[in-house]
Formats: sequence, structure tokens, C-alpha cells
Amino acid sequence: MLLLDNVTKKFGKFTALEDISLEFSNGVYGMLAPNGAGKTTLIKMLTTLIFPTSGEILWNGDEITKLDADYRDIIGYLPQDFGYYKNHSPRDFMLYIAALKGIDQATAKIKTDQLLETVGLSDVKNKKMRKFSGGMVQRVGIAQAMLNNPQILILDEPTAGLDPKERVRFRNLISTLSKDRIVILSTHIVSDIETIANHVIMFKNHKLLANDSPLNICETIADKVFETNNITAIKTPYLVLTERQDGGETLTRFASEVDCSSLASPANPSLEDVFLYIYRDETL
Amino acid sequence: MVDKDKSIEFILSQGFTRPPSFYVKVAKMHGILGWRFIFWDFSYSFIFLLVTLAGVVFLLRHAPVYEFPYSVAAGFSPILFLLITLFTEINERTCNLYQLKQTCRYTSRQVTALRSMYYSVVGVGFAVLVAAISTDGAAQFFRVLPLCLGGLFLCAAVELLVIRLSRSKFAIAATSAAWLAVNLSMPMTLGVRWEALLSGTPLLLAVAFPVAAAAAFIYQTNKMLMEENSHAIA
Repeated sequence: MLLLDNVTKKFGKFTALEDISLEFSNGVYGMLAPNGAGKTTLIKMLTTLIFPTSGEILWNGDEITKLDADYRDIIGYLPQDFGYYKNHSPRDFMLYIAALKGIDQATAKIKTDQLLETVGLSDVKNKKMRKFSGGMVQRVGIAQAMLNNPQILILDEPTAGLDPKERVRFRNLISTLSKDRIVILSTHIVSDIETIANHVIMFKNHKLLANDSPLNICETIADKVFETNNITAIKTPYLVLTERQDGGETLTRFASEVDCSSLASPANPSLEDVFLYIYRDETL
Repeated sequence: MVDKDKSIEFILSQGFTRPPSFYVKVAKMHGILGWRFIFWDFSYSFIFLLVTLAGVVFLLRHAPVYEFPYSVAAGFSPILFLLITLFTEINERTCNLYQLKQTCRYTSRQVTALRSMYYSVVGVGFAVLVAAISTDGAAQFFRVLPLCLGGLFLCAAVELLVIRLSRSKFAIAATSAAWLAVNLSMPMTLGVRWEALLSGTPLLLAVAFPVAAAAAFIYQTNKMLMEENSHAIA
């Protein structure tokens, strides 16, 4: 089990994360927050790239920095800006990362071929990555993260910049790989979390706001979401969530603290509604 | 001593393992990485090295090196090590994979430490060459050689210390520039007095200098390979 115990991270006078306590057991955890909320900071602490200013991060009771290489052996990491060697093939690149992960050559070759097959790149495994699409590069990224069969798979914004088809493919891939391990996924794309995460972690003002199932998180604004095609009739304060055209009329989905069911239809809140509602004051 | 051994045996019997020694770790790293992955994707760095080195040799050929053999030897013997470390480290730090590599069992910094050991071996060869070129006769060669080796290992130890302690990608460039500036400015400002100081170094001190510098270099390499927080980027 991975445990964060009252973790705070400061950069000079700026507090990036304050007093975060979390427990991770097997499953997919989606960190959902606007840019700059501290998702990447937390991920960098989980990957030991930076250390907490106070508090501790424990893996099965041991402090992760003390575990040193033994901890790095059990993590797989896909960074936000995943760099790759354009002049090398995915196979060569994977063999290189496998060596850095301390995997012997014979095992690395077998594992590389298996993973490239899993991510659907076996037919281009010896081609240079120069001409790969964003989705293909990300698939190489997830394959390298899986080389050591990690118990903790950490993915920072893995679907950013992917087209919808690639995104769906990527989500399915993560879902397949998420059995028997902790998957921590950071994103600000709500649909990614909605589809694959069992747990949603939200931050606000650099503190932990929620850590629950998507269903329970949606419940937090139950009875506050409505839909109407005549928003001008609503006189109480409201927050517009989404607008769409429906049969020549504008259907407005909004949130209100006051019961508007006499003027608008109650709607089941989605995770996107919660996101827009919670972060209404922040620049997204 | 017996009590200490008993205590160690007791701790080991509880399931704890002895951390691998420096040599075991180096041998294992080399075995897994091999030459190919220790020097992976550094072709551009080696090209830059050759071009820069050609420039340095050109300058030396046109400089009055025979007037200042000790100054030239001590200052320029680490130049190969300095340049190759500079170019490969800049390549490593500016590469988008740096953070990812720092999360692997063998971090970028540990591989840098391993590479430094091999660079130092090549550096020794270069230092011998510099000593041979800048001196006249065997007696002078053997007086200059310890200075060359001392300069090399001192420079290597300082470079590794900077890489270990600084998270800045430009620290290594600043250190290299500072080393060159100091070694150029000393003979330029002090002239024959600097040359006399180096050539007049007592033999014992001249021999002790490379030994102490080599020990400092090995210490820094060991620290870089072994320390727990060597993977942190900030």
C-alpha cells in the first residue's frame, strides 16, 4: 500500500501542496484538478523526483526515499512531456530503458516484444520514431513504463494532445494494464477519469478536496444540477455548466444552490458538472 | 570487533541485506548496461568534442608552450575529460528523458558517475600525451606527469561534486569555464612566477597531489553512485 502522510511541498514561500494524506491500494486513481493545482508536484514526489518539505510517503510502511532503487524498481512512470529519441526505433528505445531499469538483456528483449505487441506497435517496432504520431509515441511511453511490471504505474497527463480515437484506445489500454496494480493518473480531461478511474482525487487551493468514487463525488452536487431551454426564466443565482443546441433551442445545463425544479428539469450530475462547479472561480 | 561482527551477522539474519560495495555495483551496472547503453546517443557530443579538441590543439601549436611546460601541462591535461563530461552532461540534462531516467533503477546521475570513470581512464592517456608533448626529456616528463594527473583528477572530482550538488543544467558549463579561466589566467597574470612555482614543487608534494586528487575523485564517484537522493531533480 502506498501512503501519503500529511505531505506538504513548498517551493520557497510558495506552497504547492499542503497537508495531503492519501492511501492507494490496487485500482485506478484519477487526479482531477485544473492546471497548476499541484498534480504534477504530487506525481514528482511519488516518483522521488522531488521530496516533501514535510510529511512522508510510505510504501508498505517504508519511506520511499530510503527504499531508494528498490522503490524505483516497482514504479513505472510516463512523464507529462515524454521525450524520446527520434532517431531510434521503439524497440531500441525500450531496450535502453530496460537496461536503465536493471533488466537483463534476454528478459528485456522478450518483454519489449510482448509490450510492443500489447500497445499495437509490433509492426513498426524497428522503424525510427521520427514519423510516429502523438498517439504512437504515447503508446511507446506506456510500454516503457510497463517494462518492469510495476506495482505502481504513474501517468502524468497521458492523453493530452491525443485525438479522440487515440484517447479511447489509450484509455482501454490503461484499463487493461490496471489489473493488480496501483495506477495513478493525472489529467484535466474529465472524460478520461469518468471512464477508467475507480477513485477520483481532487485538489483545491493546494489542499485535498475529495478522494472518493466518481459516483460519490457526483452525489456531492445532487439536486443542484438542472436543464432548461429558457434560462432567462431563472431569477436565482446560477452557474452555467454547458450549453447545447437542441431542436433549434439552446438547452442550458446549470447549477444552482436553490431548488429550480419548478422552472427547469433536474439532471443527474456528471463528473464534468462537479469539476466546473468546484473550480468555478479558477481559470481553467 | 568480534561484537561488531556478531551484531552485523544478527542484523543480516533478520532478513536485511548488506548494501553492495562500490566495485560490485559498478560491475553489475556495467554488466546490465554494456558499452552501448552507457554511451547511448552521444554521437553529437563526441563530434563536438573532436571539433573543440582540434581547436584546442591548434591553439596550443601556436602558443609558446615550451616556455611554460608545467603551466600548460597542469592546465590542459584535464581538457579532454572536461569537454567530454561537459558535452555529454549537457546532452543528458537537456534531453526530455532526463526525469524519466531519474526514476529508473540506474539513474542518469549514476550512469554519469560510471561514465566519468571511463572518461578518467581516457583522460589519463591524454594527460600522459600532454606531458609528453609539453616537456623535453624523460626527467622533465616525470616531473610534469604527476602535475598533469593531479590536475586531471582534481578537475574530475570538482566536476562530479558540482554535478552531485547542483540541480542546474548549466552548473557543469560554469565549472568548466571557471577551470579554464583559472588555468589560463594564472600563467597569464603571474607568468614565470607561476611556472617557477609549479616546477619547484617538492617531489613528495608532486607525487602526493595526484594520489590525493584521485582519492577525492573516487570518493565523489562513490557518493554519486550510492547516495539515496541522487535521483532528485530539485
